[in-house]
Amino acid sequence: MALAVPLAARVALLQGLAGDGAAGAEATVPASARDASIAALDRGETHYTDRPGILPLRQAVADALRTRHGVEVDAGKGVVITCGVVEARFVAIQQLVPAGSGTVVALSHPERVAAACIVRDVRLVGPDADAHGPALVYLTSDTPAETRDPWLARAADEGWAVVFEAAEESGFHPASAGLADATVTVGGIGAGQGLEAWRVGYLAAPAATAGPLRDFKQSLTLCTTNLSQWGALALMEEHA
Amino acid sequence: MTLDELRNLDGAKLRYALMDLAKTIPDAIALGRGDPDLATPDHVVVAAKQALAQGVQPLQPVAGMPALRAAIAKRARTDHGLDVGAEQVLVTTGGQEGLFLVMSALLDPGDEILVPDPRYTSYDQAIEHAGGVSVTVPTHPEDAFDLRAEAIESLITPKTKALLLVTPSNPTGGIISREQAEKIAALAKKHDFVVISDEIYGKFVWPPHEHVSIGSLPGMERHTITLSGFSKAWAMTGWRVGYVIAEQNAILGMTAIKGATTGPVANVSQAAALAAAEADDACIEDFKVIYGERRDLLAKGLTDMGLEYTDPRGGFFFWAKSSSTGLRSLELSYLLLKEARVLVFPGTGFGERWSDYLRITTLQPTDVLREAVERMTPVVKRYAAEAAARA
Repeated sequence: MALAVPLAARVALLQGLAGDGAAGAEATVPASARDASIAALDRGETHYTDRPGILPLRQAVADALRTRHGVEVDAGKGVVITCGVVEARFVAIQQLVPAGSGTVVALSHPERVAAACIVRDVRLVGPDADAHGPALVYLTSDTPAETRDPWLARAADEGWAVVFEAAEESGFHPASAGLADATVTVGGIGAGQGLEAWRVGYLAAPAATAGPLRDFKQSLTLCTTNLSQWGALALMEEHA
Repeated sequence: MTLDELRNLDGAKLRYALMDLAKTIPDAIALGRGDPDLATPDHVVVAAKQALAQGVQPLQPVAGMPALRAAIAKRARTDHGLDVGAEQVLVTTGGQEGLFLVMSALLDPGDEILVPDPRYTSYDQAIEHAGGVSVTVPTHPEDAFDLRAEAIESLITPKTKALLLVTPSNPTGGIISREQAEKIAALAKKHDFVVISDEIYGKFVWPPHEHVSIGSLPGMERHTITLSGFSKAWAMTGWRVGYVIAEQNAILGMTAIKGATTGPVANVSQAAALAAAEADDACIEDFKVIYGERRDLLAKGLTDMGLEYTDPRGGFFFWAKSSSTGLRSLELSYLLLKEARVLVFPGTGFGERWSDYLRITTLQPTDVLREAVERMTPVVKRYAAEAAARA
């Protein structure tokens, strides 16, 4: 059985990237998340959730973005719960950069988006390279200001999309650079606190941007694991 | 949302718009989505709780927990006669992701894939994303919606890369017969295309009919990718565990893509699925009794209200005609929701030419299903009488 020819080449590139997902994730699950998941099972939470995720978790994400970053998003229409931050990054890149002609400028941690760029067939460059439109700027909470500020200014000038991977702590957000409408915020929930294997993340954006992202996520995985969402919610409430 | 607004929608968008509309109607009965209402079996839930209680949750390999891959392969051998090993199994985030990965790995832009019509239109999105071209293969009520090999052969071109086979079918409840499966297998070998066999409803085939896994037919190992999962058979939709069975090189390719798209499946879900796969099928047999009773109840109800349908040979759905009411199925669906507070899906949610059909599920408890029939009956009969008076 032959793989699709263009993809076969890309698969070789993907297989060259590090890791099979099994390493570096030994951590104790917080009791709050564990107990909330067991309680969810006892309530019969074993069915599909709403495709963008359970509303209390979307609300918790919106609240966290407001508290940590001063960003307002609509929990009902602007937040989508994903299967870990991996799916959030992939969905954003799939929907915001045109295949073939697009470029992703990774200002930090390019390894996090390298695989998604290969699947999307878009060019991945670092902050020292030149970029030609259409492009997307990817940055993280720890991207140095001297790197990010000129690129965010250029994104604003060129009308490029911005994907910001937020840490689970307070700090900078591209909205403060006037890019609230252009930015899709992505993140994992509890990945550093023992919940990485629960596969819960999110993406958040203005409603008009989030709609197509939600639709694509639904076509990919329908919804995120039910009991994982309840565990993630308990953890977020514990740390709110 | 108004009826005129709904008229501008089709496929999955139409189905979701109707589901959203139903949420605004108090005590609406949903006979739309294919989400089993039954609880996940106790032994599966217990296994999940035991996994949770372990405290440490290591991330699993992208391809899936090794023990689960082995258990799925064993079931494929014993339940369906597929000659496969664990290395030929990829655990996915539900069957939906499996389909996406298969299409992404298999299709080049411009490749044609033969798709039965009517169809679960979410397939369209995965095909379009991969740049493939859907070529619909008509199925017919007089064949109980079995696929005809000759219809397939007439549509094969040099660009034909694959055939999508869904058995039992969503939405028709038709199944592939052994006779047609053998003919299709011969075509696949002759023309060197792949059969993507979606068998997510395969545990629910009604006697005297049988479920046929086309990958088990002689020489079909190299020509078959089998899709299935735990959502329907074990009432585990919310756990998000599906799987793909294929040749190892295809599995390696899909695993690489999965690492970029979603990563591994949630490990508590995998632990639960392992418990399901390793136990016997007693719980599924219990489910079959329940679904069989509901099928009989709904069949009688539809007959009594005068809606024609083809006896479903498998799965959870009735595919019924709206024509006795003189209404297109979208109009009838809308009126049933507004006047009877019952959600059913119009046929255009499953293909453009099915505007006279409704998909109705059996996935509600018997008393709720009976209530739905009681609500629908006077509405359907009234519109049928009006249509008869006009004729």
